[in-house]
Amino acid sequence: MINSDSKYQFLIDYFVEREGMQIIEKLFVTDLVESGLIDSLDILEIAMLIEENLNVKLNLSDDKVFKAMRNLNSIINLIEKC
Amino acid sequence: MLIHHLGIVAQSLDEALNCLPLEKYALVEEVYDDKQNNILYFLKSEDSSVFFEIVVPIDDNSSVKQFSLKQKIGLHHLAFKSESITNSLKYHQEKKGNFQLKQYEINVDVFGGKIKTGFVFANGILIEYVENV
Repeated sequence: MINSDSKYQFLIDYFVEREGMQIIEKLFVTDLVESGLIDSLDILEIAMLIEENLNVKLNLSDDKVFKAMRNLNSIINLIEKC
Repeated sequence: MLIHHLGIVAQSLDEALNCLPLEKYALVEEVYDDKQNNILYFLKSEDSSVFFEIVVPIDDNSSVKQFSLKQKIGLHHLAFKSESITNSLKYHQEKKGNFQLKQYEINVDVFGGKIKTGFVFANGILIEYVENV
């Protein structure tokens, strides 16, 4: 789980704003694309948010990176590796 | 910079024709895109130099499946003709909010045969560059 003072809080806020508080529990365990919560354009929007907030530019032309954007845990792992 | 085509995602060709000022006879080519799991319908009216690309998902692995479920029909991308995809993508490389996506090749006869295509997400707009190979 992410603490409210975490540098990743903006990601939680993004989803809560769209889906409401009930989304928090699902975020770390759900395939966000398969469950219909996000689509490929949303993935791009999330990458943009990450760049804005953390100054990290993800390489979305890499298939592995794009696929990892389907779950919040794997998104955080990606950022940590950059 | 010339606009090459407008990419519109729909759940079927008929649904797209129901919304656009185009008749079925404007359909000039149908392409099965097995890389993105979509059927691409290319349409062009006689009085326009711009093509419409209607992108219809084939199955759940389609690159536009979720988009089509949410939007039913919607403008997905804007495509520009490019002399060099490499140079066109380079233009976006260092810009904030710009993300280069995958490139691939596909054959579209009405575009002159094999084309190379590259996508960029630029601050909310999905842009495709099309280069004839």
